[in-house]
Amino acid sequence: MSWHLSPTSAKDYIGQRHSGSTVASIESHLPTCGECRRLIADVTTAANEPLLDQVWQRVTIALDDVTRPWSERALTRVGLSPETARLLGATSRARLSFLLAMLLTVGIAIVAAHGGRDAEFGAFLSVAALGPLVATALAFGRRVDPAHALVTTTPTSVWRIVLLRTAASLIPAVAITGLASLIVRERGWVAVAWLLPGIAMAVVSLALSIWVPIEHAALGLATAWIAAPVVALRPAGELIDTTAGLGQLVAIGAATLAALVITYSRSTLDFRET
Amino acid sequence: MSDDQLVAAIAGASNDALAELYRRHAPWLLARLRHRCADDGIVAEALQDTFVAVWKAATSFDGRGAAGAWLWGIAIRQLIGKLRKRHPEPMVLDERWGRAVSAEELVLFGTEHGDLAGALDRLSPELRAVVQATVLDGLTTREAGHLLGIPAGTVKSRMTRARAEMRGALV
Repeated sequence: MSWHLSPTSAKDYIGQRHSGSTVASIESHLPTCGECRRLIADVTTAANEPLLDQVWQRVTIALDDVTRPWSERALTRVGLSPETARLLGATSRARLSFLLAMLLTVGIAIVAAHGGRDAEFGAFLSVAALGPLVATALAFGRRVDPAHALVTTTPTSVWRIVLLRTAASLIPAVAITGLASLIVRERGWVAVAWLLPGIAMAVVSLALSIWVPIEHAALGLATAWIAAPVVALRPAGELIDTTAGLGQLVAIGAATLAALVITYSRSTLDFRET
Repeated sequence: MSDDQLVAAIAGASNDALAELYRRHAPWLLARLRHRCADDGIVAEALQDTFVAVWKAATSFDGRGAAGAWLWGIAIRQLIGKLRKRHPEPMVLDERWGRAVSAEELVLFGTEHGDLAGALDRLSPELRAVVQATVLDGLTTREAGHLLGIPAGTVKSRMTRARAEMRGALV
């Protein structure tokens, strides 16, 4: 190029005061000349062009959206705030291994439905009830939770986080196990007998986490749940009846008690160090 | 750091590199887009989506052409995309096309283009817009049609007329 823009010429170009052929000359020159582009940038900055900053702000917001995982974007689209979506999204990543475990539950359900024997159905009920417990432990445990650092530094009320994440863990856990129950639906409503004990154990583990790490609480509860029929030496059929009848009442009682404990100590509740 | 190096850094997901590329290129892209569209809202959207597209497509920049030309290619197509959606009034065809060229401009650019500049300026605004879109912006007939709000066939016929008129003015 034998010429470069003069400051006046740059101003006239921005102000659209040049003739067509001059505009053509400038525009064929600009893509390859960093010097003249810098001149245009300087003139634009000097003129206090507000659009440049506005557009840049919108670019950064759009990029934030692009780099977020699809699960979080979907949650924002249905009306949740970006912060809540981030929290739930992180929870859902922690649940990946848990989802695999749930698939195992479904597998056992299929075997139970196929064999039609009490032993397999009993195994299904045992494993299915652990779903909500494992989900909760994964959602709150420090060792397994990639969002732990995020939660520790989020200026949201801990109480709100607890509610949100419990819901985010329990709902898919219950949904998947519920689907598995459809496979053994010929057993009648007993097929969903795992639901109340499962939720009860999840809530109890949350309450226990006030005193001990939630992983320990969950492990203890799960061991007790699996061990109970073995220790009691009761046949699977009888166990199912117990789970179906008295077990449901015990579960409701335990869940209510644990919920009361959590509500009562919510002011001192600090999941950050559990 | 050169523009090519900046684009390479953006391909490696560097926010700072994108900010620097924006600082260098957004001003002239903004001015040039404004020469194509009088609606600042649409221009702002096109500029925003240009840099979002750069962020996503930085890995596809092969560095063979100038980064500036690559950016404009993205920007003008973003603008056309917006115009297509909104069906607004076509690009600015204002009096500057018919304005007499100043003596200073003739001196400044005369050596570069000679009588070609005069021939271009004597074209009617409609014809000159077509020349600008196809020759200067490197758009296809169809893209130029979207930018100018006219059918592709009209772009072709106007380009033929523009060519004839300019040849007539030069000989």
